[in-house]
Order: sequence, then C-alpha cells, then structure tokens
Amino acid sequence: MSFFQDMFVFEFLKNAFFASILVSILTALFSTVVVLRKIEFIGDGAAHASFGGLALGFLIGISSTLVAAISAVAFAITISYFSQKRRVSENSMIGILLPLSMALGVIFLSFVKGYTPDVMSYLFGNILLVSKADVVLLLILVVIAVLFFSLFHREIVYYSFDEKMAKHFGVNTGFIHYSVLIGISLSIVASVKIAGIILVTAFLVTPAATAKLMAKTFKGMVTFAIGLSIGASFCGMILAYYLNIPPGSAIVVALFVEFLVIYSFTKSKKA
Amino acid sequence: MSIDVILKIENLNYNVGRNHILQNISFEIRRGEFVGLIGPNGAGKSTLVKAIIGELEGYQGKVELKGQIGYLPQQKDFERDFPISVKDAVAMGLYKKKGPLRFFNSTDWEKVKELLKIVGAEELYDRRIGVLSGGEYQRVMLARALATEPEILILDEPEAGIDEMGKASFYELLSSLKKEKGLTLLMVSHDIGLVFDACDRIMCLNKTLHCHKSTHEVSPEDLQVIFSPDFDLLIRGKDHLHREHEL
Ligand SMILES: Nc1ncnc2c1ncn2[C@@H]1O[C@H](COP(=O)(O)OP(=O)(O)OP(=O)(O)O)[C@@H](O)[C@H]1O
Ligand SMILES: [Mg+2]
Repeated sequence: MSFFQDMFVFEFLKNAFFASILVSILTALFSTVVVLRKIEFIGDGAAHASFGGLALGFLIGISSTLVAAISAVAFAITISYFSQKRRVSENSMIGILLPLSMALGVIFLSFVKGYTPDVMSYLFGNILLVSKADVVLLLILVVIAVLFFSLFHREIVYYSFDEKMAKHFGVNTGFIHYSVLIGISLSIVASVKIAGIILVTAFLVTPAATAKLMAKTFKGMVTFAIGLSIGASFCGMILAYYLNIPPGSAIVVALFVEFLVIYSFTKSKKA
Repeated sequence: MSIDVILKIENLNYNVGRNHILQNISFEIRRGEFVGLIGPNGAGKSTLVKAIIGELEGYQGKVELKGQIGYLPQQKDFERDFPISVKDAVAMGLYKKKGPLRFFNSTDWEKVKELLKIVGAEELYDRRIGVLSGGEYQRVMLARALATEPEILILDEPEAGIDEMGKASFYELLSSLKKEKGLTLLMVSHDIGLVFDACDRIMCLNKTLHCHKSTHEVSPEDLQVIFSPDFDLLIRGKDHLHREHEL
C-alpha cells in the first residue's frame, strides 16, 4: 500500500497529512516576522509556556488547548514587554522562564490523577492525536493569518524594518505588534500535535531563515518560506510513513536539509 | 507667532530623573532658513529633535510647529540583508496619506520615482536597501522624508558614515532643496566645517542653548563654551572660522 492509498483508508493519516500542511503554512507565515524582527526567543518562550498551560488544563479538567493558548499569549506578551524594558537581557529571560514553565508543567502533570497524557507526545508531537477538530481549527487560523498578511503586508514590513519610523509614518505598530505575538502563540498551540513543543521553534525559524537567503522582497520571502515549509512537511510525512519514524522530527530534518542546500547554493549574491 | 516663523520653542525643559537633559530652550526658526544644530555627544540634540517631531514624552514647555514636518533620523546600523527594496522604503513615507488597506497604485509609484529623481537616486529604484552605500542610503532616506511633502525638514547627523565627496554633494542637494522648494532645514551635525559652509544660522547646544546666531557672527568662544573638553573639534572649528574670515 502506498501513502496516498492509506490516506483514504485511515482517517488519522488523512487528518495528520492535512494538519501538517496547514501547520507548515501557518508557521511559515509567522516565521518571516520572527526572523526579520529577531524574536526567535519569543516563539520558544510561548512554546514552552504552552506546555505549562496544557498540563494545567489537564489538571483542572478544562480544555487544554484553551489554557495553553491563553498561557502562550500571556507569556509572549510578557517576554516582549521585558525585552523592551531592557533591564534583563532576552537570553537571561529565556534561561529563567523557559525551564520554569516546563517545571510547572511537569508538576501539574504529577498532580493529575488517573490517566495522564504522554509527555513525549507534547514535546515532540504525535500525529495519532490529531483530530478533525484540530484540522478545522488550523484551517481557520490559516485563513485569518493569510488575510492578515495580505491586508497588512506593508505595515508588517515597515514594523519589522524600523518600528520607530513606521510609527512616525503613521503605522499602527501596536496593532501589528500584538497581532503578531498573538498569531505566533496561537500557531504554536495549534501546531503542538504535529510539531511538538521542542520542535515547533524549527517550524517558526527555519523556513524564513532559508527564504531570507534567496528573497529580495518581503513578498518573495513569504512565498519562499511557505513553499519551503510545505515541501518539508510533505517530504517529512512521506519519509515518516515509509521509514516508520516520527513525522514531526522528519519534517524538522527536512527543513534543515533545505536550509543547508540553499545556504550552500546562495553565496550572498543577491543584488 | 509671526507669519514667517515655522517653529517656535518656548522654555523647553526635559529631565530624566534628576538628570537635566535639556534646560530652558527657547528659539524660533523662520521659513526658508537653513539652521545647523551643533554640540558635543550627549548634548541633547537628538532629544530636542524628538521633542520637535512629537516623539518625546514628559517634557515641559511649548513646541509650536506651523507646517508639515519631514524627518531623517540619526542613522543606526540596519540589517544589511533585510529584504526591502528602495522603492518600498521610500513608499513608507507615503503611507500616512494613504492609510491602512489603501494600497499603493501606479500614481504612487510614479511619485516614488519622482522623489528618487529629486535626490538624484532614480537608478536605485529597484535596488535592495542592503546593497546601498552610506551616501546612497542617506539619499533614499531623504527621498522618504520628502514623501510627506514637508515644509520643514529635520535631519539628525545625515553625514554620519559618508565620505567627504558624498557629504559635499549631500549638502549641495539640501541647499538646492532650500532654494528651489523654499524648504526650511534644521540639521544636527558634527561636521562643523560643512555646517559653517552650508547653514545660514547656527545653534550651539549643550543642555542649554548657548548661541543662536547668523553663521558669520559665531565666534570661536561660542564653540569653546559648548565643546570645551573636545579640543580636537574646537581646533577644527577655529581653523574653519579663520578661513571664513579670510574670505
Ligand atoms: N530616555 C532616556 N533616558 C535616560 N537618559 C536619556 C534618555 N534619552 C536621552 N538621554 C540622555 O540625554 C542625553 C542627550 O542625549 P541625545 O541623544 O539627545 O544626545 P545627542 O546630542 O544627540 O548626542 P550624539 O551626538 O551622540 O547623537 C544623553 O546623556 C543621554 O544619555
Ligand atoms: Mg544624537
């Protein structure tokens, strides 16, 4: 049986396939801002915070995804606030707060009575957990993100290029800033089952970092990032199927291979 | 405020904690003047500029501005491989007039071309920002500042990182903008020689305004007051003054 024949037989495989494509579009879009603004640490922070949130959701018995989303957003905004204040360096913030949210997550999980979810599934993703509802949620997020990027691409570029001057020229930088932070956080939470908390950072950095090597314009960068991300997702899923390895990890390796190849073929000759 | 005054500052004070950054600044700039603002590092030049363009919070005093402002910020290191083209960077200056969701059309891109032509950089239109030289970059930033159709243009150290030839032609460009468009110019600069060449009036700032006079009235003592520890600059300034007086 081939991958595509199986996809029609096994519902979970179909869900996982569509989810991974949607995840790759969603994360690729936001990765462009993450890379241009150099806020990789915020993505990392929000991802780890969402682990604490997921665990808390399990403990108190309400929707884990909702709690994870709230904690990821709160965390991203907190880190961005402190990093702007500059009293504590971003690297210190990461060192202090990331282990804290992981520690809290593990503590919460240790209090859960009876069935506890497999921690590994959340750290590295588990496509068996992807439901149709997840695919629908991802689809909604992708539509919103695509609208946001197409309607506000100028504002996003100006904000990434020079926030102060963007504001000077009348851009509502606050709106862009918070939309981006919320977008990144929600993308992470929605991607956890495919990418996992540890691996999702690669989804939020690698496509744009690779695309930036080739692109001359922001539109070009977005297009390349999405293409690279979908390509890696596709290859990763198929590799995972035939080699029987975890898809999230396979996609991350594929993203890295793309980066290596393009890095060695582009020797800073952009005009 | 008389009709030909475009900018009037009255009793401007700005403190950060107990630190007096600006003290009792009062002055007027008339339409069509080319004013040089000089002073040592940390004198408060950029802070004063921020107050004028409305980006400083928490100062006391009055800033009255009659006319659209154009602003060329103090150059900072920018990321050389940022994917933005010259035309998009200049179009940033047109954003305010268009507003969100109203995308640029062919008329706007024509306008961008025109602006680049004014600063003598039309061939850079499609170039990526990162490949520009320091002088080309400043011209592009000037085109962006002109996009708002300013009556007064404020420049914060536009000469930083530009070679002597580049500086001279940049100042020539500013002088011609002043002549042809009647633009008022306020320029912060550390290049005392060129300021004396290009500007009609000079303001010497070091926390307070020590002088504000016609260029030919500025004496070496005026410079000494604001620059006293910076002997190098002082000597260069003096040399230049001597040359001026010989002419
Ligand atoms: N937000 C702030 N908080 C604390 N100090 C400030 C702040 N803004 C400015 N200063 C201080 O005010 C002083 C004036 O700064 P400013 O940037 O205006 O100087 P400048 O004349 O433009 O110097 P340079 O020639 O180096 O550009 C400096 O001592 C600076 O440290
Ligand atoms: Mg300054």
